[in-house]
Amino acid sequence: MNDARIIYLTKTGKSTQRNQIIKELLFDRALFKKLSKDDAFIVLRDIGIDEGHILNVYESLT
Amino acid sequence: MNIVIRTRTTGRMQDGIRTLLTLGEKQFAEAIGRLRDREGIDFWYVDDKCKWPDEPIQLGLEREIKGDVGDRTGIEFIGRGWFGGERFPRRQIIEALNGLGDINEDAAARRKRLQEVCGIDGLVRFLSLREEIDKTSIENAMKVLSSDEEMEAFTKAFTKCGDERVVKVLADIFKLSLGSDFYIPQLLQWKYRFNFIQKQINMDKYIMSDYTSPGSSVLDYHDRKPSEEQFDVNPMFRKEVLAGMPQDFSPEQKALYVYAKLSKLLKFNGRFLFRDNKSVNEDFSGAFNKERIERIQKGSEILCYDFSRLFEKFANEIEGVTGVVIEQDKLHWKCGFYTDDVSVGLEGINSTASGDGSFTPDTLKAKQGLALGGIKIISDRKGLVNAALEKIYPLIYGNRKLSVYDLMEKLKTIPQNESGGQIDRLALLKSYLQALKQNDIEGFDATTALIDAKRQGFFGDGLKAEYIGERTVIDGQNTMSCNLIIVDDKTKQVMILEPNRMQIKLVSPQAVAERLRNNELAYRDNLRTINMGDIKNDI
Repeated sequence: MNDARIIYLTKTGKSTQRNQIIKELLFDRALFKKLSKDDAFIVLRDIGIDEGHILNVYESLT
Repeated sequence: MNIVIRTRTTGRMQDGIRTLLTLGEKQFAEAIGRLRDREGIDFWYVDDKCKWPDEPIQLGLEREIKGDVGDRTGIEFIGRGWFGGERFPRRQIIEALNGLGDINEDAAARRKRLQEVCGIDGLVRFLSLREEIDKTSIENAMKVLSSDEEMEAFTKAFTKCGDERVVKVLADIFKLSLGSDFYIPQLLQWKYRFNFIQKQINMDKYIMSDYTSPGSSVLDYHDRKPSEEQFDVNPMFRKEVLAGMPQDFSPEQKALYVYAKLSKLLKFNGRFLFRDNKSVNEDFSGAFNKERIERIQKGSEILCYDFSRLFEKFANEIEGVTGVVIEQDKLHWKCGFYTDDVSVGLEGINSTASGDGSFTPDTLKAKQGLALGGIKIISDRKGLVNAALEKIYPLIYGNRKLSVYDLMEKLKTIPQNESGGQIDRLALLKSYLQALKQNDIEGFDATTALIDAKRQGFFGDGLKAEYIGERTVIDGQNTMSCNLIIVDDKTKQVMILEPNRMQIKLVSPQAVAERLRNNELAYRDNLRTINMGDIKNDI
C-alpha cells in the first residue's frame, strides 16, 4: 500500500518524502509491534489507511 | 466389565478382588479375555444405584450381549445398569492384588494370570497384535526402557543408524494410557527414559496423527523416498528456487528457504474460483500431470497440489531432511517435513486461517515481505524454526539500513502533505496495481492484495468489488480467468481489474451486461440476475 501511495502522490504532484521513510521502516516485519501505538497510527495514516479502519488494522498487525 | 459383589464387607476394592478371584472357571477365563482387550473393571454392590432394579441380579461377571436389548437402545449389556460407583484403574487393582497376604493356591494362580494380563506381558501382547509392529522391535523397545545404559546406548547409536521401528514402538507405548491400563511397576523410570530419548530424537515424526487435520481423508506419507509421481523440476526454476541459499544452512533452514522461495516465485491460480462453471473443463482435480508440473517456472499459476509436490521434490533432496509428508483433504493439499530436531507442517496455498489469523496465502505474503503464516510448528524443542526464519527473511526480502527508532524520528521531522481535495479513485487503484507489479505481485495474488487493501480502507468508503470470470482457453482447455468487477458508489463508475494483464479499466455497465448475457463473463453464482452497478457479494 505504501508503494501505491508513493506512486499516487508522485502522479498528483505531492511530496513522497514521508512515504519513502516508511518504505524503509516496513522492511521490519515486526514493525508495528516495536512502535508505540501513536507512532504506529502516524505510519498507518501516511500509508493511506482510512481513519475509520486504523484501529482495526493496527490491532490486526500487533 | 462389571463384577457384581453380593455383600459389603471390607471395602469395594477388596470385596471386588475377592469376587474376581472366586469366579467360576468359565467366567474367570472370560474376564481374562476381556482384560486382554484392555477393558476396564467396575466393581458393583447389588445395592448400588441402578437404572433397571427389576432385572435379575447376575453375581460375579455380569453378562453382556452385543446390540440393543428391548427398549434399551444402544446398550450392549443386560443387567441392572449400575451407576455411581467408584472406578479403579487396572494398575490399582493389580497393586491391591500384590498386597494380598496369604491366599490359597488357586487364588494365587489366578492372581498370577491377572498380573500377567495387566502387566508388561499384557502390554507386549497388546502391541504384538498390531500388524505394523514386529516382535523384535517390541523386545528391543523393552530393552531400551529397561536401564539407563541401554537408553543412552540406543540414543547415541540412533543418530548414526538408528532403528526407526524401535522408536515407533516407544512412541506407541507412550500414546497408550499406561498409568491406568497396565501395571508397570517401573513406570516412573520408563517415563524418565522416554523423555530423555524424546529430547534427543524428534519422535513426533513417528506419531503421524499430529499431521492430520480434522476431516483429512487421505494421508500420503513419503519417508525419504521419491513419490510415485516421477517428474523433473524445470531446470531454470530449480536454479531460481535454490539461488542465494547458503550452502552451510542446516536442513531446517534449507527446507524453509525452499518453502519461502516457492511462495515467492509462484502465484495462486485464481481460475480455481470458477471451477464449478459449466463451461470450464480445466482440470482442478489435483491429479498428477507430468507435463503441467514440469512446465512450472517463476510466475506460474499453481494450486496447493502442485505446490506440495514441488516442495516434496526439493525437500527430499536436502541432506538431513528425514521425511516429507503430503496431506490431502479432499481438494486441499498441504505438506511438511521432518528432521532429527523438528516436525513442520506447511501450507503455501492456505485454505484455512494461517497462524496470524488472516486468509492471505503465503504465495502473496512472500511477495509483500510479510512473515509467512502457513508454517505450523509441530515439534521444535530447540527453537530452530523461528531462528531459521529470522535468517531466511533478510535473504529473501532484503535488509533495512537504519533502525526503526532512527527512521521514526526522521519521519517526524518531515511535514505532512496538506490534506484536502477529492481522491481520484481510479488513479489510486491504478497506482496500487502499478505498485503490486513493481513487487512482482500479479495475477490472482494481485486481486487478493487489492481486496485486502480495500478492506483496510485504503481506497476509502463506497467501493464494492466482486469476482467475475472471463471465458478463456488455456492449453486447449476451456476455463475462466478470475477478474474483479469494481463499482464506485460515489461516482457510479464501473471498473474491471484484469489481474493477468495487470490492468484496470473503466467499462460501461451496458457492455458488461451484454457480455454476461453472451456467457463471455460470469459471476461465480451462475443464477445471478444481471444488474450492473449492484454488487451483491461485496468482497
